[in-house]
Amino acid sequence: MSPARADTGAPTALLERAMEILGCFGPDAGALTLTELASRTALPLSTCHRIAAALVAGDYLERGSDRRYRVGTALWTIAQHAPLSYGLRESALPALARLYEETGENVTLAVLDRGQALYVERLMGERSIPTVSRAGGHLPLHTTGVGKVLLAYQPATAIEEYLSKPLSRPTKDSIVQPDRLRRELAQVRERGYSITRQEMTIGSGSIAVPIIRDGACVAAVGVIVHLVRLDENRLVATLNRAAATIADELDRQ
Amino acid sequence: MVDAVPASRAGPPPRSVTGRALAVLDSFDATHRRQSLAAIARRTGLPLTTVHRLVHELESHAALVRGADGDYEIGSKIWRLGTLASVHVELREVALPYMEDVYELGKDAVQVAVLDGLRCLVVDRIAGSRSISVLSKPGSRLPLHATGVGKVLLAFGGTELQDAVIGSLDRYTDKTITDVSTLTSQLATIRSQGFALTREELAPGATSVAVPLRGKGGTVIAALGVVSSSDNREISRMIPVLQVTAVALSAKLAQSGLGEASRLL
Repeated sequence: MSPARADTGAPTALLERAMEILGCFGPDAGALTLTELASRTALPLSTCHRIAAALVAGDYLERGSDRRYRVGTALWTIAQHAPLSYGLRESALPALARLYEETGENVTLAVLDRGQALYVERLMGERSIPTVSRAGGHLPLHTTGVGKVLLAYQPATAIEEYLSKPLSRPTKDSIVQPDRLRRELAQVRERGYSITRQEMTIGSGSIAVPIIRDGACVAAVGVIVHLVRLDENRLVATLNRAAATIADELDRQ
Repeated sequence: MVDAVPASRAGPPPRSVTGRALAVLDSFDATHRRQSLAAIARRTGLPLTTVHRLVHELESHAALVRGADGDYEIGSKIWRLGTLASVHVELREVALPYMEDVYELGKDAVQVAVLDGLRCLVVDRIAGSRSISVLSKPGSRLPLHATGVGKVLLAFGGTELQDAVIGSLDRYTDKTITDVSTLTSQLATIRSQGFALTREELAPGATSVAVPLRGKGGTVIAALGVVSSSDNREISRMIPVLQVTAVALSAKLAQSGLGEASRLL
Protein backbone atom coordinates (compact mmCIF):
# COMPACT_ATOMS: atom_id res chain seq x y z
CA MET A 1 0.00 0.00 0.00
CA SER A 2 1.70 3.18 -1.14
CA PRO A 3 1.04 6.55 0.45
CA ALA A 4 0.24 7.83 -3.03
CA ARG A 5 -3.01 5.90 -2.88
CA ALA A 6 -4.27 8.18 -0.16
CA ASP A 7 -3.01 11.20 -2.05
CA THR A 8 -5.27 10.76 -5.05
CA GLY A 9 -7.56 13.14 -3.25
CA ALA A 10 -10.67 11.02 -3.60
CA PRO A 11 -12.82 11.71 -0.54
CA THR A 12 -14.02 8.10 -0.52
CA ALA A 13 -10.48 6.75 -0.19
CA LEU A 14 -9.76 9.22 2.59
CA LEU A 15 -12.97 8.41 4.36
CA GLU A 16 -12.13 4.73 4.19
CA ARG A 17 -8.79 5.39 5.87
CA ALA A 18 -10.38 7.68 8.42
CA MET A 19 -12.85 4.91 9.27
CA GLU A 20 -10.00 2.40 9.57
CA ILE A 21 -8.20 4.71 11.98
CA LEU A 22 -11.34 5.35 14.04
CA GLY A 23 -12.01 1.60 14.05
CA CYS A 24 -8.79 1.04 16.02
CA PHE A 25 -10.38 2.59 19.10
CA GLY A 26 -12.36 0.40 21.43
CA PRO A 27 -13.10 -0.32 25.10
CA ASP A 28 -9.59 -1.72 25.53
CA ALA A 29 -7.98 0.84 23.26
CA GLY A 30 -9.14 4.26 24.37
CA ALA A 31 -5.80 6.04 23.85
CA LEU A 32 -3.47 5.08 21.02
CA THR A 33 -0.10 6.35 19.78
CA LEU A 34 0.59 7.07 16.13
CA THR A 35 2.72 3.93 15.92
CA GLU A 36 -0.11 1.83 17.33
CA LEU A 37 -2.55 3.33 14.83
CA ALA A 38 -0.16 2.62 11.96
CA SER A 39 0.42 -0.97 13.01
CA ARG A 40 -3.29 -1.66 13.62
CA THR A 41 -4.37 -0.19 10.28
CA ALA A 42 -1.30 -1.38 8.33
CA LEU A 43 -1.16 2.12 6.85
CA PRO A 44 2.18 3.89 6.30
CA LEU A 45 3.10 6.10 9.23
CA SER A 46 2.98 9.26 7.11
CA THR A 47 -0.51 8.49 5.76
CA CYS A 48 -1.68 7.65 9.24
CA HIS A 49 -0.25 10.87 10.61
CA ARG A 50 -1.86 13.02 7.93
CA ILE A 51 -5.32 11.51 8.35
CA ALA A 52 -5.11 11.50 12.13
CA ALA A 53 -4.11 15.18 11.97
CA ALA A 54 -7.18 15.90 9.84
CA LEU A 55 -9.35 14.01 12.33
CA VAL A 56 -7.82 16.08 15.15
CA ALA A 57 -8.49 19.29 13.18
CA GLY A 58 -12.15 18.27 12.91
CA ASP A 59 -12.22 17.38 16.64
CA TYR A 60 -13.06 13.78 15.75
CA LEU A 61 -9.91 12.81 17.63
CA GLU A 62 -7.94 14.71 20.23
CA ARG A 63 -4.27 14.42 21.02
CA GLY A 64 -3.24 14.78 24.64
CA SER A 65 0.02 15.91 26.16
CA ASP A 66 0.97 12.21 26.28
CA ARG A 67 0.89 12.31 22.43
CA ARG A 68 -1.83 9.66 22.40
CA TYR A 69 -4.95 9.99 20.29
CA ARG A 70 -8.39 9.72 21.87
CA VAL A 71 -11.96 10.06 20.59
CA GLY A 72 -12.83 13.76 20.40
CA THR A 73 -15.87 15.84 21.19
CA ALA A 74 -17.15 16.23 17.62
CA LEU A 75 -17.44 12.47 17.28
CA TRP A 76 -19.14 12.27 20.68
CA THR A 77 -21.60 14.97 19.64
CA ILE A 78 -22.49 13.21 16.39
CA ALA A 79 -22.94 9.99 18.36
CA GLN A 80 -25.64 11.71 20.42
CA HIS A 81 -27.71 11.96 17.23
CA ALA A 82 -27.77 8.19 16.75
CA PRO A 83 -31.20 6.62 17.32
CA LEU A 84 -29.56 4.35 19.89
CA SER A 85 -28.85 7.49 21.88
CA TYR A 86 -31.74 9.92 21.39
CA GLY A 87 -34.29 7.17 20.82
CA LEU A 88 -33.70 4.11 22.92
CA ARG A 89 -31.32 5.34 25.62
CA GLU A 90 -33.20 8.56 26.35
CA SER A 91 -36.58 6.84 26.41
CA ALA A 92 -35.23 4.17 28.73
CA LEU A 93 -33.18 6.22 31.21
CA PRO A 94 -36.00 7.19 33.63
CA ALA A 95 -37.27 3.59 33.79
CA LEU A 96 -33.71 2.28 34.20
CA ALA A 97 -33.12 4.77 37.01
CA ARG A 98 -36.27 3.55 38.75
CA LEU A 99 -35.28 -0.08 38.19
CA TYR A 100 -31.91 0.63 39.73
CA GLU A 101 -33.48 2.37 42.74
CA GLU A 102 -35.94 -0.51 43.24
CA THR A 103 -33.42 -3.31 42.99
CA GLY A 104 -30.08 -1.71 43.83
CA GLU A 105 -28.67 -4.09 41.25
CA ASN A 106 -26.66 -3.64 38.10
CA VAL A 107 -29.14 -2.67 35.37
CA THR A 108 -28.42 -3.19 31.66
CA LEU A 109 -30.10 -2.28 28.39
CA ALA A 110 -28.95 -3.96 25.18
CA VAL A 111 -29.78 -4.35 21.51
CA LEU A 112 -28.79 -6.91 18.91
CA ASP A 113 -25.83 -5.64 16.89
CA ARG A 114 -24.29 -7.90 14.27
CA GLY A 115 -24.60 -11.15 16.20
CA GLN A 116 -23.73 -9.76 19.61
CA ALA A 117 -25.43 -7.96 22.47
CA LEU A 118 -24.53 -4.26 22.31
CA TYR A 119 -24.90 -2.61 25.73
CA VAL A 120 -26.63 0.72 25.27
CA GLU A 121 -26.59 1.58 28.96
CA ARG A 122 -25.52 0.11 32.23
CA LEU A 123 -26.40 1.61 35.57
CA MET A 124 -24.59 0.57 38.67
CA GLY A 125 -24.00 1.87 42.14
CA GLU A 126 -22.04 1.07 45.25
CA ARG A 127 -24.33 -1.87 46.00
CA SER A 128 -24.13 -3.46 42.57
CA ILE A 129 -21.96 -6.42 41.71
CA PRO A 130 -19.03 -5.61 39.37
CA THR A 131 -19.65 -6.78 35.79
CA VAL A 132 -17.82 -7.04 32.51
CA SER A 133 -20.54 -5.17 30.62
CA ARG A 134 -20.12 -1.50 29.78
CA ALA A 135 -22.12 0.96 27.70
CA GLY A 136 -20.85 0.71 24.14
CA GLY A 137 -19.42 -2.77 24.72
CA HIS A 138 -20.35 -6.06 23.09
CA LEU A 139 -20.93 -9.43 24.80
CA PRO A 140 -22.01 -12.82 23.43
CA LEU A 141 -25.73 -13.53 23.03
CA HIS A 142 -25.68 -17.01 24.57
CA THR A 143 -23.89 -16.18 27.83
CA THR A 144 -25.78 -13.06 28.94
CA GLY A 145 -29.36 -12.53 30.13
CA VAL A 146 -30.07 -9.70 27.70
CA GLY A 147 -28.32 -11.64 24.92
CA LYS A 148 -30.45 -14.75 25.38
CA VAL A 149 -33.60 -12.63 25.15
CA LEU A 150 -32.37 -10.87 22.00
CA LEU A 151 -31.48 -14.21 20.42
CA ALA A 152 -34.66 -16.00 21.52
CA TYR A 153 -36.89 -13.48 19.74
CA GLN A 154 -35.00 -13.76 16.45
CA PRO A 155 -36.46 -15.74 13.51
CA ALA A 156 -35.70 -19.49 13.68
CA THR A 157 -33.25 -19.25 10.76
CA ALA A 158 -31.21 -16.56 12.52
CA ILE A 159 -31.13 -18.66 15.70
CA GLU A 160 -29.96 -21.71 13.76
CA GLU A 161 -27.27 -19.67 12.06
CA TYR A 162 -26.03 -18.42 15.44
CA LEU A 163 -26.03 -21.94 16.90
CA SER A 164 -24.14 -23.32 13.90
CA LYS A 165 -21.10 -21.19 14.69
CA PRO A 166 -18.53 -21.93 17.39
CA LEU A 167 -19.88 -20.68 20.72
CA SER A 168 -17.51 -18.94 23.13
CA ARG A 169 -17.25 -20.26 26.66
CA PRO A 170 -16.31 -17.50 29.14
CA THR A 171 -16.91 -19.75 32.18
CA LYS A 172 -17.25 -23.48 32.86
CA ASP A 173 -21.00 -22.93 33.25
CA SER A 174 -21.49 -21.26 29.84
CA ILE A 175 -23.92 -23.27 27.73
CA VAL A 176 -22.29 -24.12 24.42
CA GLN A 177 -24.26 -27.19 23.33
CA PRO A 178 -26.65 -26.14 20.51
CA ASP A 179 -29.38 -28.55 21.65
CA ARG A 180 -29.39 -27.26 25.20
CA LEU A 181 -29.37 -23.65 24.02
CA ARG A 182 -32.19 -24.31 21.57
CA ARG A 183 -34.34 -25.73 24.39
CA GLU A 184 -33.46 -22.84 26.63
CA LEU A 185 -34.32 -20.22 23.98
CA ALA A 186 -37.72 -21.91 23.52
CA GLN A 187 -38.21 -21.62 27.26
CA VAL A 188 -37.28 -17.91 27.13
CA ARG A 189 -39.99 -17.30 24.52
CA GLU A 190 -42.50 -19.33 26.50
CA ARG A 191 -41.85 -17.68 29.88
CA GLY A 192 -41.03 -14.22 28.54
CA TYR A 193 -37.74 -13.90 30.37
CA SER A 194 -34.23 -15.32 30.38
CA ILE A 195 -32.00 -16.38 33.20
CA THR A 196 -28.27 -17.03 33.39
CA ARG A 197 -26.26 -18.54 36.23
CA GLN A 198 -22.51 -17.94 36.20
CA GLU A 199 -22.48 -18.22 32.41
CA MET A 200 -20.59 -14.96 31.86
CA THR A 201 -18.98 -14.34 35.26
CA ILE A 202 -18.51 -16.75 38.15
CA GLY A 203 -20.60 -15.67 41.12
CA SER A 204 -23.18 -13.66 39.16
CA GLY A 205 -26.45 -14.42 37.53
CA SER A 206 -28.82 -12.37 35.46
CA ILE A 207 -32.45 -12.05 34.47
CA ALA A 208 -33.69 -10.17 31.42
CA VAL A 209 -36.94 -9.45 29.60
CA PRO A 210 -37.73 -8.20 26.08
CA ILE A 211 -38.91 -4.70 25.19
CA ILE A 212 -41.64 -5.36 22.65
CA ARG A 213 -42.83 -2.86 20.04
CA ASP A 214 -45.32 -3.78 17.32
CA GLY A 215 -44.85 -7.43 18.22
CA ALA A 216 -41.07 -7.35 17.76
CA CYS A 217 -38.33 -7.42 20.39
CA VAL A 218 -36.40 -4.17 19.88
CA ALA A 219 -34.17 -4.36 22.97
CA ALA A 220 -33.72 -6.24 26.23
CA VAL A 221 -33.53 -4.94 29.76
CA GLY A 222 -31.93 -6.96 32.52
CA VAL A 223 -30.34 -7.03 35.95
CA ILE A 224 -27.09 -8.67 36.95
CA VAL A 225 -27.06 -9.86 40.55
CA HIS A 226 -25.03 -11.91 42.95
CA LEU A 227 -26.09 -15.53 42.54
CA VAL A 228 -27.59 -15.64 46.05
CA ARG A 229 -29.87 -12.68 45.26
CA LEU A 230 -31.27 -14.20 42.06
CA ASP A 231 -34.91 -13.95 43.12
CA GLU A 232 -36.75 -14.86 39.92
CA ASN A 233 -40.30 -13.89 40.86
CA ARG A 234 -39.51 -10.50 42.30
CA LEU A 235 -37.04 -9.46 39.59
CA VAL A 236 -39.16 -10.61 36.63
CA ALA A 237 -42.16 -8.57 37.81
CA THR A 238 -40.00 -5.47 38.32
CA LEU A 239 -38.29 -5.93 34.95
CA ASN A 240 -41.61 -6.37 33.15
CA ARG A 241 -42.87 -3.09 34.56
CA ALA A 242 -39.70 -1.33 33.38
CA ALA A 243 -39.93 -2.90 29.91
CA ALA A 244 -43.56 -1.80 29.55
CA THR A 245 -42.67 1.76 30.61
CA ILE A 246 -39.81 1.91 28.09
CA ALA A 247 -42.07 0.60 25.29
CA ASP A 248 -44.63 3.32 26.17
CA GLU A 249 -41.93 6.00 26.11
CA LEU A 250 -40.72 4.78 22.72
CA ASP A 251 -44.28 5.01 21.39
CA ARG A 252 -44.60 8.54 22.72
CA GLN A 253 -41.62 9.75 20.67
CA MET B 1 -39.81 21.66 20.12
CA VAL B 2 -36.34 21.91 18.72
CA ASP B 3 -33.13 23.13 20.21
CA ALA B 4 -33.00 26.82 20.85
CA VAL B 5 -29.47 26.59 19.54
CA PRO B 6 -29.05 23.64 17.19
CA ALA B 7 -25.63 22.07 17.52
CA SER B 8 -25.16 22.38 13.81
CA ARG B 9 -21.74 21.75 12.39
CA ALA B 10 -22.86 22.11 8.82
CA GLY B 11 -21.72 25.23 7.05
CA PRO B 12 -20.45 26.11 3.62
CA PRO B 13 -18.99 23.22 1.62
CA PRO B 14 -15.68 22.26 3.23
CA ARG B 15 -12.67 22.83 1.02
CA SER B 16 -10.19 20.21 2.17
CA VAL B 17 -10.56 16.67 0.91
CA THR B 18 -10.69 15.20 4.41
CA GLY B 19 -13.19 17.88 5.30
CA ARG B 20 -15.34 16.75 2.41
CA ALA B 21 -14.99 13.14 3.49
CA LEU B 22 -16.26 13.98 6.97
CA ALA B 23 -18.88 16.48 5.79
CA VAL B 24 -21.51 13.76 5.48
CA LEU B 25 -21.18 12.82 9.15
CA ASP B 26 -20.99 16.48 10.15
CA SER B 27 -24.32 17.15 8.44
CA PHE B 28 -26.16 15.13 11.10
CA ASP B 29 -27.30 17.22 14.05
CA ALA B 30 -30.17 17.58 16.50
CA THR B 31 -32.53 18.89 13.85
CA HIS B 32 -31.24 16.60 11.07
CA ARG B 33 -31.12 13.13 12.60
CA ARG B 34 -32.64 11.35 9.61
CA GLN B 35 -31.61 12.47 6.17
CA SER B 36 -32.12 11.34 2.59
CA LEU B 37 -29.21 11.29 0.16
CA ALA B 38 -30.62 14.42 -1.49
CA ALA B 39 -30.83 16.22 1.85
CA ILE B 40 -27.23 15.30 2.68
CA ALA B 41 -26.11 16.56 -0.73
CA ARG B 42 -27.97 19.81 -0.22
CA ARG B 43 -26.61 20.38 3.30
CA THR B 44 -23.01 19.50 2.46
CA GLY B 45 -22.97 21.21 -0.93
CA LEU B 46 -21.39 18.07 -2.40
CA PRO B 47 -22.43 16.49 -5.70
CA LEU B 48 -25.01 13.72 -5.31
CA THR B 49 -22.66 11.12 -6.83
CA THR B 50 -19.95 11.96 -4.27
CA VAL B 51 -22.48 11.83 -1.44
CA HIS B 52 -23.70 8.49 -2.71
CA ARG B 53 -20.18 7.03 -2.60
CA LEU B 54 -19.38 8.52 0.82
CA VAL B 55 -22.65 7.32 2.34
CA HIS B 56 -22.09 3.86 0.93
CA GLU B 57 -18.62 3.76 2.49
CA LEU B 58 -19.99 4.94 5.86
CA GLU B 59 -22.80 2.40 5.70
CA SER B 60 -20.31 -0.43 5.13
CA HIS B 61 -18.63 0.55 8.43
CA ALA B 62 -21.98 0.81 10.29
CA ALA B 63 -21.19 4.51 10.74
CA LEU B 64 -24.51 5.22 9.05
CA VAL B 65 -27.55 2.98 8.97
CA ARG B 66 -30.37 3.03 6.46
CA GLY B 67 -33.89 3.03 7.87
CA ALA B 68 -36.93 1.33 6.40
CA ASP B 69 -37.95 4.56 4.68
CA GLY B 70 -34.58 4.85 2.95
CA ASP B 71 -33.34 7.74 5.07
CA TYR B 72 -29.99 7.51 6.82
CA GLU B 73 -29.23 7.75 10.52
CA ILE B 74 -26.08 7.61 12.65
CA GLY B 75 -25.12 3.95 13.14
CA SER B 76 -23.84 1.82 15.98
CA LYS B 77 -20.17 2.27 15.05
CA ILE B 78 -20.22 6.03 15.63
CA TRP B 79 -22.37 5.60 18.71
CA ARG B 80 -19.89 3.11 20.17
CA LEU B 81 -16.94 5.39 19.40
CA GLY B 82 -18.78 8.17 21.22
CA THR B 83 -18.75 6.11 24.42
CA LEU B 84 -14.93 6.28 24.33
CA ALA B 85 -14.72 10.09 24.38
CA SER B 86 -13.29 11.62 27.54
CA VAL B 87 -16.48 13.56 28.14
CA HIS B 88 -18.26 10.20 28.29
CA VAL B 89 -15.73 8.09 30.18
CA GLU B 90 -14.50 10.70 32.64
CA LEU B 91 -17.71 12.58 33.33
CA ARG B 92 -20.87 10.95 32.01
CA GLU B 93 -20.29 7.44 33.34
CA VAL B 94 -19.22 8.80 36.72
CA ALA B 95 -22.12 11.26 36.95
CA LEU B 96 -24.98 9.04 35.80
CA PRO B 97 -25.70 7.20 39.10
CA TYR B 98 -25.76 10.55 40.91
CA MET B 99 -28.08 12.02 38.29
CA GLU B 100 -30.41 9.04 38.79
CA ASP B 101 -30.59 9.77 42.50
CA VAL B 102 -31.57 13.39 41.84
CA TYR B 103 -34.08 12.32 39.19
CA GLU B 104 -35.76 9.80 41.48
CA LEU B 105 -36.17 12.44 44.20
CA GLY B 106 -37.86 15.11 42.12
CA LYS B 107 -38.79 13.59 38.74
CA ASP B 108 -37.55 16.86 37.24
CA ALA B 109 -35.25 16.74 34.23
CA VAL B 110 -31.65 16.44 35.41
CA GLN B 111 -28.67 17.52 33.36
CA VAL B 112 -24.90 17.82 33.49
CA ALA B 113 -23.06 20.32 31.29
CA VAL B 114 -19.50 21.46 30.67
CA LEU B 115 -18.04 24.61 29.21
CA ASP B 116 -17.49 24.46 25.46
CA GLY B 117 -16.16 27.74 24.11
CA LEU B 118 -18.72 30.43 24.78
CA ARG B 119 -21.53 27.92 25.31
CA CYS B 120 -22.22 24.96 27.54
CA LEU B 121 -22.37 21.45 26.17
CA VAL B 122 -25.03 19.17 27.64
CA VAL B 123 -23.18 15.96 28.51
CA ASP B 124 -26.17 14.00 29.72
CA ARG B 125 -29.77 14.40 30.68
CA ILE B 126 -32.46 12.30 32.31
CA ALA B 127 -36.00 13.38 31.54
CA GLY B 128 -39.14 11.30 31.88
CA SER B 129 -42.64 11.86 30.63
CA ARG B 130 -43.42 13.46 33.99
CA SER B 131 -40.58 15.96 33.51
CA ILE B 132 -41.09 19.22 31.66
CA SER B 133 -40.18 18.92 27.98
CA VAL B 134 -36.69 20.32 28.00
CA LEU B 135 -35.06 21.99 25.04
CA SER B 136 -31.65 20.57 25.71
CA LYS B 137 -30.46 17.10 24.78
CA PRO B 138 -27.11 15.42 25.21
CA GLY B 139 -24.89 17.10 22.65
CA SER B 140 -26.83 20.40 22.69
CA ARG B 141 -24.88 23.61 23.06
CA LEU B 142 -26.76 26.11 25.19
CA PRO B 143 -26.16 29.80 25.92
CA LEU B 144 -24.30 30.39 29.18
CA HIS B 145 -26.29 33.41 30.36
CA ALA B 146 -29.77 31.93 29.95
CA THR B 147 -29.50 28.50 31.61
CA GLY B 148 -28.87 27.38 35.19
CA VAL B 149 -25.95 25.12 34.31
CA GLY B 150 -24.60 27.81 31.99
CA LYS B 151 -24.72 30.54 34.62
CA VAL B 152 -22.80 28.34 37.05
CA LEU B 153 -20.10 27.68 34.46
CA LEU B 154 -20.01 31.37 33.57
CA ALA B 155 -19.86 32.49 37.21
CA PHE B 156 -16.89 30.24 37.94
CA GLY B 157 -15.31 30.54 34.49
CA GLY B 158 -13.10 33.57 35.12
CA THR B 159 -13.17 37.16 33.90
CA GLU B 160 -11.83 36.40 30.43
CA LEU B 161 -14.81 34.15 29.70
CA GLN B 162 -17.25 36.56 31.33
CA ASP B 163 -15.95 39.49 29.26
CA ALA B 164 -16.29 37.45 26.06
CA VAL B 165 -19.84 36.29 26.85
CA ILE B 166 -21.08 39.64 28.09
CA GLY B 167 -20.14 41.15 24.73
CA SER B 168 -23.21 39.57 23.08
CA LEU B 169 -26.11 38.58 25.29
CA ASP B 170 -28.77 37.13 23.00
CA ARG B 171 -32.41 37.35 24.03
CA TYR B 172 -34.51 34.15 24.04
CA THR B 173 -37.53 35.25 26.08
CA ASP B 174 -38.65 38.52 27.63
CA LYS B 175 -37.03 37.30 30.87
CA THR B 176 -33.57 36.64 29.41
CA ILE B 177 -31.03 38.79 31.20
CA THR B 178 -29.33 40.92 28.58
CA ASP B 179 -28.27 43.76 30.87
CA VAL B 180 -24.56 43.50 31.66
CA SER B 181 -24.66 44.92 35.18
CA THR B 182 -27.65 42.75 36.21
CA LEU B 183 -25.88 39.65 34.93
CA THR B 184 -22.56 40.61 36.55
CA SER B 185 -24.17 41.04 39.93
CA GLN B 186 -26.05 37.73 39.51
CA LEU B 187 -22.77 35.97 38.78
CA ALA B 188 -21.28 37.38 41.98
CA THR B 189 -24.32 36.09 43.92
CA ILE B 190 -23.95 32.66 42.29
CA ARG B 191 -20.31 32.51 43.38
CA SER B 192 -21.16 33.46 46.96
CA GLN B 193 -24.29 31.31 47.41
CA GLY B 194 -23.02 28.37 45.36
CA PHE B 195 -26.02 27.88 43.06
CA ALA B 196 -27.74 29.49 40.09
CA LEU B 197 -31.43 29.93 39.43
CA THR B 198 -33.17 30.87 36.16
CA ARG B 199 -36.82 31.62 35.51
CA GLU B 200 -38.04 31.35 31.93
CA GLU B 201 -34.83 32.90 30.62
CA LEU B 202 -34.31 30.40 27.78
CA ALA B 203 -37.83 29.08 27.26
CA PRO B 204 -41.21 30.18 28.60
CA GLY B 205 -42.55 27.82 31.26
CA ALA B 206 -39.19 26.45 32.38
CA THR B 207 -37.24 27.22 35.53
CA SER B 208 -33.90 25.75 36.52
CA VAL B 209 -31.43 25.50 39.38
CA ALA B 210 -27.83 24.35 39.09
CA VAL B 211 -24.71 23.88 41.19
CA PRO B 212 -21.01 23.53 40.34
CA LEU B 213 -19.17 20.21 40.13
CA ARG B 214 -15.55 20.44 41.18
CA GLY B 215 -12.59 18.33 40.17
CA LYS B 216 -9.12 18.00 41.60
CA GLY B 217 -7.96 21.14 43.39
CA GLY B 218 -11.52 22.46 43.65
CA THR B 219 -11.66 23.69 40.03
CA VAL B 220 -15.20 23.93 38.68
CA ILE B 221 -15.27 21.47 35.77
CA ALA B 222 -18.99 20.97 35.15
CA ALA B 223 -22.45 21.92 36.37
CA LEU B 224 -25.33 19.78 37.62
CA GLY B 225 -28.85 21.11 37.38
CA VAL B 226 -32.56 20.37 37.26
CA VAL B 227 -35.11 21.93 34.95
CA SER B 228 -38.71 22.10 36.08
CA SER B 229 -41.99 23.72 35.13
CA SER B 230 -42.11 27.35 36.21
CA ASP B 231 -45.33 26.49 38.11
CA ASN B 232 -43.10 24.51 40.41
CA ARG B 233 -42.77 26.85 43.38
CA GLU B 234 -40.77 24.24 45.24
CA ILE B 235 -37.80 24.02 42.90
CA SER B 236 -35.66 25.70 45.58
CA ARG B 237 -36.13 22.50 47.60
CA MET B 238 -33.91 20.82 45.03
CA ILE B 239 -30.99 23.13 45.87
CA PRO B 240 -29.82 21.23 48.99
CA VAL B 241 -30.35 17.94 47.11
CA LEU B 242 -28.15 19.18 44.28
CA GLN B 243 -25.55 20.53 46.70
CA VAL B 244 -25.26 17.28 48.65
CA THR B 245 -25.08 15.30 45.40
CA ALA B 246 -22.47 17.70 43.99
CA VAL B 247 -20.21 17.20 47.01
CA ALA B 248 -20.30 13.41 46.61
CA LEU B 249 -19.94 13.53 42.83
CA SER B 250 -17.14 16.12 43.00
CA ALA B 251 -15.22 13.85 45.38
CA LYS B 252 -15.60 11.01 42.90
CA LEU B 253 -14.51 13.21 39.98
CA ALA B 254 -11.49 14.52 41.89
CA GLN B 255 -10.57 10.93 42.74
CA SER B 256 -10.52 10.03 39.06
CA GLY B 257 -8.12 12.92 38.50
CA LEU B 258 -10.39 15.39 36.70
CA GLY B 259 -9.54 19.03 37.14
CA GLU B 260 -6.40 21.16 37.23
CA ALA B 261 -4.58 20.73 33.95
CA SER B 262 -7.02 18.19 32.59
CA ARG B 263 -9.89 20.05 30.99
CA LEU B 264 -12.61 18.01 29.39
CA LEU B 265 -12.83 20.18 26.32
